[in-house]
Amino acid sequence: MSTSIQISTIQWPCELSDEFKYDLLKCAKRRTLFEQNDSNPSYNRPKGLVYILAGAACFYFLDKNSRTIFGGLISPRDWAGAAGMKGGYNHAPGIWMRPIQPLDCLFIGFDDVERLSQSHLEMYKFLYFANQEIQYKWGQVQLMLNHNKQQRVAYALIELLALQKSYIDTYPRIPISQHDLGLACGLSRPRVNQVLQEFVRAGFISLERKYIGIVDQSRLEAEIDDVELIFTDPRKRLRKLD
Amino acid sequence: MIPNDIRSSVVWPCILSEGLTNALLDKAQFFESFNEMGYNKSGSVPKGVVYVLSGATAVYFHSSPKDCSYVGLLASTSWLGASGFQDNLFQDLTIEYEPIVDLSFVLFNYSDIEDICERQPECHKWLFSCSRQMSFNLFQFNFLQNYSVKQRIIYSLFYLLAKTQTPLKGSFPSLAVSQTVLAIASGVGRPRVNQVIKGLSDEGLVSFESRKTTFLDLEGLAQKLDGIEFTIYDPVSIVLTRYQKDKP
Repeated sequence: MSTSIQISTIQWPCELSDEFKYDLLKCAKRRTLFEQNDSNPSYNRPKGLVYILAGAACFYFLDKNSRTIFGGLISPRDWAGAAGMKGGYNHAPGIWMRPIQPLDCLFIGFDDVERLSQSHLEMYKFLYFANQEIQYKWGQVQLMLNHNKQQRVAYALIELLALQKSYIDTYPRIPISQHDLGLACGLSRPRVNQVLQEFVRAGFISLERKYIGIVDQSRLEAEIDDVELIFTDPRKRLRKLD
Repeated sequence: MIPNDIRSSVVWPCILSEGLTNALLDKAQFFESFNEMGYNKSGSVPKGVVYVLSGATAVYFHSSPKDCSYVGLLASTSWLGASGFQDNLFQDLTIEYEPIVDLSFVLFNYSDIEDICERQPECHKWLFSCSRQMSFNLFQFNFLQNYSVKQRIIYSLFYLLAKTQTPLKGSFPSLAVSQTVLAIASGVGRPRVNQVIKGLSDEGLVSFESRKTTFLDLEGLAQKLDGIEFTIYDPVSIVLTRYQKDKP
């Protein structure tokens, strides 16, 4: 049990009884998630629900040629993984996750979820609303496929920027590699590099070792002016930070 | 009251108690046509969960006149609208659909669902499964965005063949679908559809006339989709299996 986590510190997706919340948290394991797989320490396909307490991870789908086709970010207060539940649907697409900032999360295995659903019918209410929230995020990720690579990279950078709590330099610097940025926006590393070089030439960003500096935030934001931000607009989260 | 044959034809998205399915069906309404809902051609999804009995529709997300995006096709045995139940997250977001083969469907109103959820918590299991099924179905169409326009159009043709139960008997099966409808179904422009259809005709795979596509070489057409992953729904094997069985 994740003893240090209190019911009140979690953002629950809907109204639920304390009894249910307590029983759910009793099954939760506190993890940095992906460090436990020795054969491949960076990647994992979690077979359970994940609640992000701190940090961020990118989630992405791979085709059979290991090409990244979708990519997005999950961040604090997100519940992920409900859609991967067994039963009723046997063809859930495989999701891969990779932390891009040190991760602190709760993990509840599907076996525990299923066991609890026998005694708590409230489980499905919880799963339904947890899935709703993440669906909006996925919806936007899928819509990004309709847009060009510049817009996809700019969108991912703005999302990452919205995760930065504060910065002490003259401009914000995002700690991310080009490989991880590619996973976060569903593009290959060479294509991400090509876009980043364009952005550098245009004066939007600077490329530093292990960091991407956001030199001209307003022009970077303007890159996604024509993007269909139907589900979520990361610029609004940036305004909140301001 | 829903006719008994319709009640028994519903394919539920997960295992549910008879008590729940009866409670839901007792409150549901049956519509023989989308037009019965008071819409002419397209419009917002009704305020409820929809179970598609027959027909097919293109689905769009819509938040403002500027932001409207095609997401995919849904047809018979699909559940729509479960994600909109008690949705406080993005109240301005609506889903629109444009039927391309008129829909007959069963409608479960949100207000009735709310009452049933109060009495039978199992109702959330149904909502969760419906919502998950729809997102997976639409995932397949978004997945196809990674492939060429030609492949997306061919996928739509196979999808419509599979889901509308088009008879495959006879030497050359055909599908009653205009280029405009095929453009809506594939989420691409009509001129592009025209171009692709012309190319496929030149290759001897299909012929297209008077709002009808005739499949001259289904197996050859299927080969154009080689390499595509049908992660969620594979209409090609469904159609080819039926074709092998039915062909003279």
